[in-house]
Amino acid sequence: MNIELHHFLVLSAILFMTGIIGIIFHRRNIIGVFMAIELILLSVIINFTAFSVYQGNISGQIFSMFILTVAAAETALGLAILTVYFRNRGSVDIEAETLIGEDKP
Amino acid sequence: MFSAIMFYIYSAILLTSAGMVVCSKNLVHALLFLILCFVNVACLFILIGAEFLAFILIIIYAGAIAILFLFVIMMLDIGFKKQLKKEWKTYLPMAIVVCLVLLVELIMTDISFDPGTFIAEGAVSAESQVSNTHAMGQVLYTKYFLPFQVCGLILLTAMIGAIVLNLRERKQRKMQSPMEQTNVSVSDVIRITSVISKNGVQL
Repeated sequence: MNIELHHFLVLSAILFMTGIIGIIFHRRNIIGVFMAIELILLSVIINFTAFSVYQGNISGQIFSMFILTVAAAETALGLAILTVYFRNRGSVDIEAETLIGEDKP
Repeated sequence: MFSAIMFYIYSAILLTSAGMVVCSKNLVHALLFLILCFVNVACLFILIGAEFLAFILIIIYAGAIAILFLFVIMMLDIGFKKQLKKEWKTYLPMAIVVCLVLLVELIMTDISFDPGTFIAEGAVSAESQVSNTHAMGQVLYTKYFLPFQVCGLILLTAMIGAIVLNLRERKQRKMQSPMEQTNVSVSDVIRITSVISKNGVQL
């Protein structure tokens, strides 16, 4: 019994779904949304790497590294925006934020 | 056989801790479970022979990003416990529908996918003589040199953006202003008067 490509694909599909659930459940708390996005990116990295290894093509792992870079940049910027936001508004509730949208009825 | 058993152990821990990330009411606990996720994925990568990515994952994710999260969580005072309890029931039906559709689609695609029929053109195969890190370096600095440089640019942009966003000018702070110091003229600081004896100087 060997581990096949399908094992990794199903694993990353379940991880992706967990990330989506996280985004839906943590709609009020933006840090929770960030963590869920990290889970989703992790599942994408698993997918890339599994394809790369099982097809003998090293490019997939290179692209996993690029994804990692972008994820790091995204997290740093997101958390920086978050601290500024918290300083100005006193909370990180994204449901109540309607500054650039219409007022809620 | 051994690798299959290890795969199942690692995936079980990975999925459990991913679930705990989503369900945990305390953000610090959620973050610690996130780190557990990263470490488990790194173990899985080592299992299939992508060692370099595994170590990069631990260094960058668990070492840098998770610490960044921890800083922000501990700096901000977020009332979290009440909110999740309220939200939980409101979004449960939507979450279940969305996720079931997604999961069924993804798994059906995954299972019906036949890797034998799909080989990309221009694939760069890893040489089996050299190690994983060596093979990645051979491709990264030749074929993907430009994307590699763009990655550096992205990180620079993010760094400058984060610094600019969080830079605050404090009004009360006592500090020197180099511009004012260099722009000072002689007439501002020195006054030449002819002092009459026994009369002193008018200030």
